Amino acid sequence: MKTVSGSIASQREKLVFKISIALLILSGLAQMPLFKRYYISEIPGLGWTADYHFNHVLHYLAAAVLLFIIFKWAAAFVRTKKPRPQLTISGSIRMGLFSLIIITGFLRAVKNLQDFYFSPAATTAIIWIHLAAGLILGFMAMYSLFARKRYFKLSQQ
Amino acid sequence: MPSSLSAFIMVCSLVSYQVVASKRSLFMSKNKFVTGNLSRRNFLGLAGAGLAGAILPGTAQAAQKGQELATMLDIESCINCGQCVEACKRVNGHKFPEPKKPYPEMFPSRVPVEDWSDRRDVHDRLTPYNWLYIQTSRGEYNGLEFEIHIPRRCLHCQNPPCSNLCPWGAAVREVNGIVRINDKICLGGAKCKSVCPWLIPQRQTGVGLYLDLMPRFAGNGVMYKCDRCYDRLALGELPACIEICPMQLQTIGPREEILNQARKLAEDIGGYIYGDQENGGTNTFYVSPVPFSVLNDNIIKGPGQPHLDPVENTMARSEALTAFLALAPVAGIAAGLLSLKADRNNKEK
Repeated sequence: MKTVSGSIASQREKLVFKISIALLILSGLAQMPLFKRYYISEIPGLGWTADYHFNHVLHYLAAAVLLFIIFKWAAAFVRTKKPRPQLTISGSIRMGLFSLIIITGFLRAVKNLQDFYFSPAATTAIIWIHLAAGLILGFMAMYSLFARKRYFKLSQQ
Repeated sequence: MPSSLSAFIMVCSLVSYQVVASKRSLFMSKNKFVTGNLSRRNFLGLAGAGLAGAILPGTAQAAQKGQELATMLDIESCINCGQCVEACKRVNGHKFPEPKKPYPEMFPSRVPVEDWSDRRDVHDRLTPYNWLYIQTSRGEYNGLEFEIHIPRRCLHCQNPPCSNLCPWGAAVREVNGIVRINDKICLGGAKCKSVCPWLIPQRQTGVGLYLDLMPRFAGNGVMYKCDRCYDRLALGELPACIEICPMQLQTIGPREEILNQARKLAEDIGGYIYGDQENGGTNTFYVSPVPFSVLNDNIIKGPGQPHLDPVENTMARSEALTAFLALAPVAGIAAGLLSLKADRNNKEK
């Protein structure tokens, strides 16, 4: 028995993927004025958690790494010969949420460029969708971890 | 517009311009850049209204077309009469916070309660009830004394960090360059203030959406700052501070035109501009006969009293990093295809 994702993703890539996700969660939460309020930035070595500009840059860098890994896996998956593995329901939901986060995250980055303009309503909607999708994905990931749900159905090989 | 009214406006504008021009030459001839009290306020106010009428159609048209608008402030002309401050308070009074007391107890207890509701008449700094104040710089430059008054408010950056970095989408940039905070959804975390190079937005506790969420644990009110009278501009009216100014020291219009005017004025008086380059460019241009570094050394700076330092573009790094975000998927796809090909080659061997 072998998972399909295992044939596409190396252990090292999985580790980089997990680290980038952890950094995205941390730098994403650090975009909110919480770490200073709740003394976290006063823990020795965590002063940077209250630096909005630093965390903004960190979020961009971690997002670039995540995009690289995800698109590498996606390209390999699409080029895999049929029969292709099938996504589980849990995997489909998480993939959908990832897609939503990536799209809205990219739009947020574009919005931050001086020459691109998004209306106030669009700006707020993009940010709220990004936040909501991140929150739901977090819950889904926890559920999947404890309920041992995988992204792909196991295939006999 | 009837021709008689146009003629009246033109005459008033001319009078206003000449008064300003004669005032400048008078002070220059005294070898001082000093501004004094104005005794002919009402007359000049009328003249100002005339000039405002002349400025308005082009500005309203530009605003309706969605063009980026900018303002130029010929600060040498400011007489510190305070009419702009009063007009701002009067016109925007309906936007000011009306908090309900007592305020929720904050957790942890060190979270500051920022309450300006009992100090609404403070006018020597920015507050949630005072979005514009006049800063005075007195000193000596090139052996000459000067006293220059500087109306201070949000500069409306072209790429505003307050709006870009607001985690909640409450601070937004309008198509006409106005940067404003949506008081209906702002949670008062004050991040916009922390990332603003001039620390412009000011917080009022006890008002806003956070009261309906987790008032003790997240949020702390609403942030307030100049919204350049966006509602008046939408109706084809001028921002209150510009309309009321008896000296007509502010000019508003499409950014390129106003920037050219600011450059021309700076050239004419051998002066300096602040705001055109700061933070990557703002939509407010201060023009002064005294270098801003000198003005900055002679102003009171502190909470709600912004500096006049040079400011680098705080969004420059993220602008550069966007290229990484765009290239990462392409590089990922290329890497995926190459690794698959390499795997197949290995298997064939």
